[in-house]
Amino acid sequence: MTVTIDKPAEVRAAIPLLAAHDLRVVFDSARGPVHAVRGVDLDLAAGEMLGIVGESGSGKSTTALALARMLPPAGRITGGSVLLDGDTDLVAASEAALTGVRGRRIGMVFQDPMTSLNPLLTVRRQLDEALRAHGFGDRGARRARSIELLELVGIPGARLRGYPHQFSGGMRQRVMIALALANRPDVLIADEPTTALDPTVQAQILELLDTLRRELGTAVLLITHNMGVVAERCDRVAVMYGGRVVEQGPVAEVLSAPRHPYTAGLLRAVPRLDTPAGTRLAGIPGTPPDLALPVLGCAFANRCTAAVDRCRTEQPDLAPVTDTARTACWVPSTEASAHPLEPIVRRAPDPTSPVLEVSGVSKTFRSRGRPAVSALTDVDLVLYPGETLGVVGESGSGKSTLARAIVGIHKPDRGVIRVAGKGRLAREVQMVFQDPYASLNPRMTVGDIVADPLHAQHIGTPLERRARVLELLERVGLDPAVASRFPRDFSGGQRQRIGIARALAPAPSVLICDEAVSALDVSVQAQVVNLLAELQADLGLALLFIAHDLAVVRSISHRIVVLREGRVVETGPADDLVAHPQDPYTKALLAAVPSPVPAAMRAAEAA
Amino acid sequence: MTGYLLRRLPSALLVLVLASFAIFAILRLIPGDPATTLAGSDPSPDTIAAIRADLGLDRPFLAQYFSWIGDLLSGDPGRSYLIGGQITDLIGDRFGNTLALAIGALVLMLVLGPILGVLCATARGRVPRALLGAVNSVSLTVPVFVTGVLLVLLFAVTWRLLPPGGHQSIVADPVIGLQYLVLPALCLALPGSAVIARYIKDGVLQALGEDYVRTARSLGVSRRRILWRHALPNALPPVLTVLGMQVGALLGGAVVVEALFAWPGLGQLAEQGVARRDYPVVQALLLLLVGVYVLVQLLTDIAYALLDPRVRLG
Repeated sequence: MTVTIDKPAEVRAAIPLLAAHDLRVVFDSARGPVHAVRGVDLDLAAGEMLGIVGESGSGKSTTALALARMLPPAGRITGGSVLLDGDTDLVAASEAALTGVRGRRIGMVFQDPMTSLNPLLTVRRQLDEALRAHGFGDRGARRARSIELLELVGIPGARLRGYPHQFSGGMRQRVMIALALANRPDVLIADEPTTALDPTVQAQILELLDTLRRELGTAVLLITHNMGVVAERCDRVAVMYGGRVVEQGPVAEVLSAPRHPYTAGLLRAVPRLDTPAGTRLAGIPGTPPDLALPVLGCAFANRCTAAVDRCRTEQPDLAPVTDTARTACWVPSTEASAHPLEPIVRRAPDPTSPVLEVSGVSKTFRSRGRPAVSALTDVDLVLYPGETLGVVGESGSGKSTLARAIVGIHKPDRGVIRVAGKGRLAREVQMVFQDPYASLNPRMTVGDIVADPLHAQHIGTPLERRARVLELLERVGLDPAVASRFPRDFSGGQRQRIGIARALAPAPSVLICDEAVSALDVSVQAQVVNLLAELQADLGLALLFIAHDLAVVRSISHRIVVLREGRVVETGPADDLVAHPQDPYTKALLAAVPSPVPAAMRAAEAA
Repeated sequence: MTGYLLRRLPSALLVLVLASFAIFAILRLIPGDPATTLAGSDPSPDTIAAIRADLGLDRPFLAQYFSWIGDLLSGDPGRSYLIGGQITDLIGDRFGNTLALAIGALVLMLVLGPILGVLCATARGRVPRALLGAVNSVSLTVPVFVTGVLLVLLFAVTWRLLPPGGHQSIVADPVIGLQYLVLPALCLALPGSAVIARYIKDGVLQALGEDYVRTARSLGVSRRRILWRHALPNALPPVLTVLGMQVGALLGGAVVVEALFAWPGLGQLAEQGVARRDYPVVQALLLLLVGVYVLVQLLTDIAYALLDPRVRLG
């Protein structure tokens, strides 16, 4: 590692700090080897922020882990190199050498701050350990440095003695960053560092990373699925798909004039806050490639509208398209393609008599030895047939408690919840849940899952139920033949369709979607949001659409309710509320949403 | 913590009351009674009846139960029918011996279990893993009376390293006392060690896959330190529950081990008491056992709080 010192300064400047070449990673799985990363080229210069974007399964997180040889036991690097300072190949380095590099040269920040810190050790001990691992000073020096680090990330030094569970999610992520920066690494790899956080907290953490980069000169590799984060924070961006980088270049260039059809599709699928309500989201049809199978040609070819024969047989490599940008595509588009906004066919809600009325509902949770938590306070809302009411707010705002109170899981302390229609509440109100993986019983067939509410409420004969299941599966865009298969055979988007079919089974009048699309990738999210909109138009359903992503909420909702600490702070028609927010909290929420449009381009649009 | 313990008190008392009744009833369901034993060989029915009346065994069941409980509450567990002497004396003489055996076994369990568990969790290669798994399974499944005999054969008969049985006070001569303690304690500790090893192995393996271990790796913390400082402590809470239950098993196992190694402890007393239907002795011993068990459960909960700041600090 000392070799670089001998080189003249100008040569050193030209050598990237960290450079991956033709990096390949294979995971062993029950289905055979999965080629998660299939030849990735990346380079990171000192002090720059490089974004890696891509959807789940694109290989972005695996690439991040592989750079520091941090893959889980099932994964291994099968080829390529990762050069640090241009001369130390981390792929070939010994485990001992790597232990010296990790934390000292390369720091890492992970996605979930709730699980990334050891719950049994104080923050002080964890910082101390990180410093000690690289022989930082004596006890006193380490303690002083720990306090300095906490204060660097905006936490009072007095909280050094706290345990992780005594910190909020955002604070824990700050602690995580303090740990990663403890030994002043030159490179910080941040893998979805803000995905688990609320938008306002996300903005703070990104600001912190940006500041640290400027002040300490740390190069940052930011892995994210959020185009807005890339647009606002990164210098350059690499777009990954099917285990390869498909496009790379300066953020302004890639985001305003994407050359690869996947980049273009991804950008179209991202809901934008300035898109008016009732706009159809542009999903990318199809599903990402199965990397357990051999990929012939371009991995995106079967979802690509521009694909030619060559795309299906020959794999394109990253090639320069401009002085600064490179793309791996046989038919790169040459100019920015503007896409027309397409409205969803919507019926106007019927405002004569509400289908759901929530009036004066309050709910307080009490547990021994802790202060009582008011989850909901005097919440009023009405929902009309055929209407979508968006509910937004940060974690702890009472969104989920509200949903649970309406379906009867929580009994409100005060107030009334009235559902119109003849049926019982349990039948008239159905719910679609957030996690498409946890909310379907893995031991039940898809048919049994969808028929479950019919069983529970004794609706129909077995024969009628069976017919209803097939009809519903078709309704949500699945082949009725899937009824006999198990959830494990389906992707997240397909599972969410199954969840929707289940919710629709007893023909409810109100559908509650509690963060139902939050866990999905944007291209799939658009498909599911559009499906919900279509179902609403066809069936006259009333939707209560709970989400933290304001742009998605605006696109689907007629009206929006903003919740904060269990109270309704503002409510109004979707477009008005987003365009002219009244309450300061709503304004803050809106301001925290990163726009997927680079600043330069936004200025151009405004002009 | 005090408040927590106070809240636990009613349920602990309830367990003791229910257990006392069950013990009392079950003993009387065993065929034969102390009067038959006391009357000697070929007694006349009148003799037996007279002895029964003398011991109060002819009184109604509930009356007997309540007079036992009444005496217990006034601090008097009664006299032994057959062994002779006050029960407090009988228990007092042997309690220390069994305590020494139990503590010895517990220490061995706490040393052997984690070592075996961590070895199982970190062993690489098929052969070492299979060997460790076999050691674990054998310790777990082979009954105490078989391992006891094997240990005596190996250590006392073949190698002549340790005495095959008997007891010497540890207080009087620690070296000699320990030599007598090692084999019975080891014999008693083996099954529990295997159970603990099993839980440690699973816990460590799970912890090694947790995000905080990845964090520690990303910071350049050494593999050994990750294992001992991050994975093992996080594997301990479930082990505590099991440990609490193993202490119960330990006391039960003591009956067999003490008989096997001629160890003059409570287990031996219990065995004699049961064989001769000496109701008061067995009742007192079993109730003592339940009391110890309840106490251990309380200690387990306290240990939980000590281990995990989320329990301690809320």
